[in-house]
Parts: sequence; structure tokens; C-alpha cells
Amino acid sequence: MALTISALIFFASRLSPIDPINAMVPPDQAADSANLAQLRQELGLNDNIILQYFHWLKNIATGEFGYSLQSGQKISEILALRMPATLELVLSALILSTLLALTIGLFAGANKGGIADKLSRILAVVGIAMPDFFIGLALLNVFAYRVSWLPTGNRVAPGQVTLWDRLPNLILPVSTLTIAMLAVLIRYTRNSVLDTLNKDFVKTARSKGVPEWRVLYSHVFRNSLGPVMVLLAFRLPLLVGGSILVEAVFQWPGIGTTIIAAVTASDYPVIMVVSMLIAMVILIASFLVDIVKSILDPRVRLGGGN
Amino acid sequence: MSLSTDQDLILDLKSVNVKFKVEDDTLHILRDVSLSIPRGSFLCVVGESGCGKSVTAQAIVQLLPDNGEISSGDIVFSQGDKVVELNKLEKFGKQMRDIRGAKIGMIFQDTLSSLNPAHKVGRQVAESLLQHLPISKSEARARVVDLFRKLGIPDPERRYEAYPHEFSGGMRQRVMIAIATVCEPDLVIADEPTTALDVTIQAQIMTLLKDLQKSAGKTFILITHNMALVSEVADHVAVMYLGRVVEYGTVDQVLRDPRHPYTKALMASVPNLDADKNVELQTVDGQTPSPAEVTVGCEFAGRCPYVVAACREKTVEMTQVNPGHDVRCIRLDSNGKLPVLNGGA
Repeated sequence: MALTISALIFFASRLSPIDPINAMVPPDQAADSANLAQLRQELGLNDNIILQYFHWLKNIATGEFGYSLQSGQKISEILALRMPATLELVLSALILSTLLALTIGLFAGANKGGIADKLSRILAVVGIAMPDFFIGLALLNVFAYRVSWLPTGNRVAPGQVTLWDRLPNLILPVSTLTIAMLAVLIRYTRNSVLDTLNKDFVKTARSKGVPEWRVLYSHVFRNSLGPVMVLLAFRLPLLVGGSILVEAVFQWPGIGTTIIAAVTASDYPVIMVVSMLIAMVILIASFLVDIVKSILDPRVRLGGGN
Repeated sequence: MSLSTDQDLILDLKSVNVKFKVEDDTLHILRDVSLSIPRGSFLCVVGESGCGKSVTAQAIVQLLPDNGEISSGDIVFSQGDKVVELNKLEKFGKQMRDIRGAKIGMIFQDTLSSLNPAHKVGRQVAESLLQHLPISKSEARARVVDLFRKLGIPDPERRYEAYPHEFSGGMRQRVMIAIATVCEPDLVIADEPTTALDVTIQAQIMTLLKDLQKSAGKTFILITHNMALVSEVADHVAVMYLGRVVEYGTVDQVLRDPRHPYTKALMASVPNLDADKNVELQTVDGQTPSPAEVTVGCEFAGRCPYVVAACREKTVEMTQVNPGHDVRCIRLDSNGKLPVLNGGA
């Protein structure tokens, strides 16, 4: 799986007609074709493309990500610098949206037609209809410009040291991503809860005289989680994609801004490594979801039984 | 049925009506269902799909689907000197919950969907015990393992830890029976407990239920459409058609001497191994009408070979044909017999 992705990323980047050398070398030196040819040779751009791929793959596998064509910086250094910012954003949004979605979804499903259900419906329409960056801009407009409660962007302002200090900066971008994630998740959790409530084993649980909150918590909730987890795995790429836009809106110095800068400058090594990284994160995440699913549902456990 | 009160009735349904809201319509699913169930008896409720057998069971324990409700009637449950009107209790209130599981156990048909796939079976049985009795988890476990052994689940210690999907259908039904009986309820309602099982397992499960009734003196209500089962286990039979009890009596009365045209037709449609192969198996003509279609008169009139105009005019009342044997039909003569049909049906 990972190999296929790596091949796709590599060859797709080579399909582009733009010559990275042009982006790298200042125009006034571009005339010197001898220099260009030498540079090409040094960068290995003249080798057979298959050979280049395996060379690149070997480097990636050994943690040798190469250098940015644009700044000459080591890509691993760029990542080390930018990665924490994105993780901070994506993980907080992921945790927050999952917790909120499960809680609201459970209440909405358990009291169909109740307040939580109506609220979730409104939220769902808002979240699905509006793209991430628009939610971001709307939040910025209201909370940063009109009432100035929260900063407009950036991860750290001078004088901010601890995570607690930086919290105000985090609120808007995380809310943006959370709202975008939340919409579908809540609806899905609600429907899954409604589905489970109609299952026969819920009737069995009630026939034992178990109180309703226990029926919900112990029987309904757990059995509703499986489908939600699968959806979560499917939504993860969207979250990562969303974070790129949100980082741009809030000038968040993460992987998203890095990849946007790299694309503008045709900085192939960076684009390739970052794409690879995102792909790996999604792969690992779906693997984790499978593990969580097997914990929730004994039927999918490997070699279970007997 | 003997409506006299000198009998010790564990459960007495008095003209129970249940209505369901389906979209904009209200369907009258149970019509004046009255059943008196003596303590320690084994009652079978029979009838075809959609006649309201399961709804009757659900109404008793107040576990009707969200769109259904008991619109009138009383359901009186007596535990010795304590008499409760179940239909007056709050659906998920403490009083109703204290009866459910502890005093009335339920066994459902589809064991795979009726057991929680994510919980170990032992825990699902113990849940009922822990809910109703002040005992520790290890005591509950010991009692469940003990019950598993009594119910013929092999290797009960190990099976306690297994999940429902690791069991066969018959074993899962034993687990269901364990759930229903672990708190030693006085009344057990089994809603088609053997329909999903193959015949040899059916017999085992029925023997198990019958033994429970005899040895523990429990009262059983068995809901089924399997007439062969009825003759094996029941002592009383109630035949239902389209939300009404049309005939009630002892097994001998109802199965050997059916009086209602519907019961007659039902009995004639039971295959018999000794029967002449050249004689075609009888079926009940026509389709069961929808509950929305019949408003006045006898519900069976549309399919009844004995029908006359008077049948469709007003609601038919139960009449006693023999002590303890009641039939809902106006065509019976003073001896409680149906007229002889010309040309034969």
C-alpha cells in the first residue's frame, strides 16, 4: 500500500512539465547552460527515472529526505519545525470533534426530536454546506475583527511560552476544523444510535429491568461506535486536507503552509516528502481504527473465539 | 374461560386494547384481549403472523414499540398478596423495571439479534441478577455458571467468557432462557423461542421449558404458530385472529374439539404423517386482512365458510360452550356446535 502511494507520488511529480531547475536558479544566472547541466547532474535529474525512483525510495526509507530546492534547507529540519504545529491543530480538532460528536450524537439519537437532535440538525446543515476556509473566515470576521476577543492567526506571539499562553491562538483554527468535522460525525452518530436502539438486544436489555441510562450507555452506545469509527477513518484525509486550507487562512506555520509554499515554488522534494508523510499518517490512522473496531466488536477480532 | 375469581390467577388481561400509530393512521392491533392465566399453568397463544400474539407479550411487560400504546384495558399481575396493574406503571419507571426480569422473564425469537454482540454471554445473564439482587459480581458469576450447567450448556465456566456469535442457535437460546429465568421469575413469556431453530433442537428447548414449569412451578406463556408444539407442552390454548382471542380452552378442548371456524381451519392445515397422501392439505382460504380493513363484525367473516350476514353486523362476544372453553362465534347452536355445511368445505 505504502509502496503504491510512493510510486504514484513520485511519478506524478515527474509528469509535471515545469522544470524544477528554473524555479531554483535565479533568472539572471539561467543563461549559463553549462552550470544548469552540471546542477542537473549533481541532483541526479539525468538518471533513468526508474533508478531515480528507487534512489528516492531508499533515501526516504532511511530517513534521508533530501533538501528543499527552494531554500536548500534539510527537509527533515523543515518537518521538525513545522510538524508540531500541524499535529497540535489536527489532533486537537480530531479529539474535540470526536468527543463532541459522540456526546451530542448519543443525546440526539436517544431523544429523537429533542433539543440535542434539533441542534445537531442545524449544525449538520451549517457544517456540510460551508467549506472549511469559509467557516474559518467567518469566525475570523466575528471573533477577531468585530469583537477582537481572539487573535487573527499565527501560532505564537512574542512573550507566549507555554501551551496555555498560546491557547487563544489555537481556538479559532481548531474550532474551524472541529465544526467542519463535527457536522457529518454528529449526524452519523445519531443515526447509528437510532439504528442500534431498534435492535432486538436493546429490547432484551430492557426486559431485564435495566434502567434506560444503562441500556443507552452499556448496550446502545458501544454498538453504535463501530460505524462511526469507520466514518472517522474516511474523514481523516478531509481533516488533513482541511488543515492545509485552515493553516493558510490563519497563517499557521504548519505542514499546510509548507506544502502551499512548496507547490508555488515547484519545490518537488518537499512536495513529495510531505505528500508521502500525509499518506502515511492516513494509513496508520486507518490501521488504528481497525484496532479500535476490534476492541469494540468481538466479531471482527482475528483468531477470536473457541 | 372461567371468569370466576376463585382461581389463583397470576396474570389477568381485561379487555386490553393496543393501538399503533403508523404515519397518519392509527391501527387497532389488539381488540379487547382478555386472558386469565392461572398460576403454574402453561398457556400457548397461537395464531398466524400479524394476529397480535407478540404484541400481547410486549404489552404485558410494557415493551411495545415507540409508536404503540395500550389505549384501554387492564393488565393485572399478582404476586401472592401483591396485586399490580402493570398498565398503570410508568414504562421505564422503577416499579415496572423491578418486575421486568425479576418477576416476569422474557425469551425472544431471534437469539442472534436478541443478544448483545459486544458483551460476553455470561455478563449478559449476570446483568439481570446484579440489577435485581444485592449480590456481588463473583456470586452472580457463580450462579450464572451453575444455571448454564443446569440448562445443558457444556463447559459453562469457559462458555461464560464467550460471545454470542461463538454459540450455535440452540446454545444461544439456552443463554436467552438463562437470562429470562436467572432471577427466578414467577412468569416467563416466550415469544416464538424455537422458530429459528431446527426440529431436534426445538424439541430440546421445549423439554427444557416444560421441565422448568413443572419443577419450579413457574407460569409460562408460549407464543407460537407451531401447533405440534402446542399439543406437547400446553395445558391451555388461546387462539388469536386479527387482534382478538377467538377461542380459549384447555389443550384437549381446543385441539381435539375446535369450535371456532378459524381454529378448525388451523387444525385442518396441520400436516399429519398418517394422512392419506392423495388428500390435499387444507389451507385457510384467503389472506389475513389488514387491521385497518375490519371495523365492525367478526374479523374472520371474510374468510369463513360459515359466514352469514349477521356476522358482519356487530362485534361478536365470547360465549362459553363448555366449562373453561370459550368461543367467539355467533354461528354456534345451543350445543355449541357449528352448523353442517352443505356441499362440504
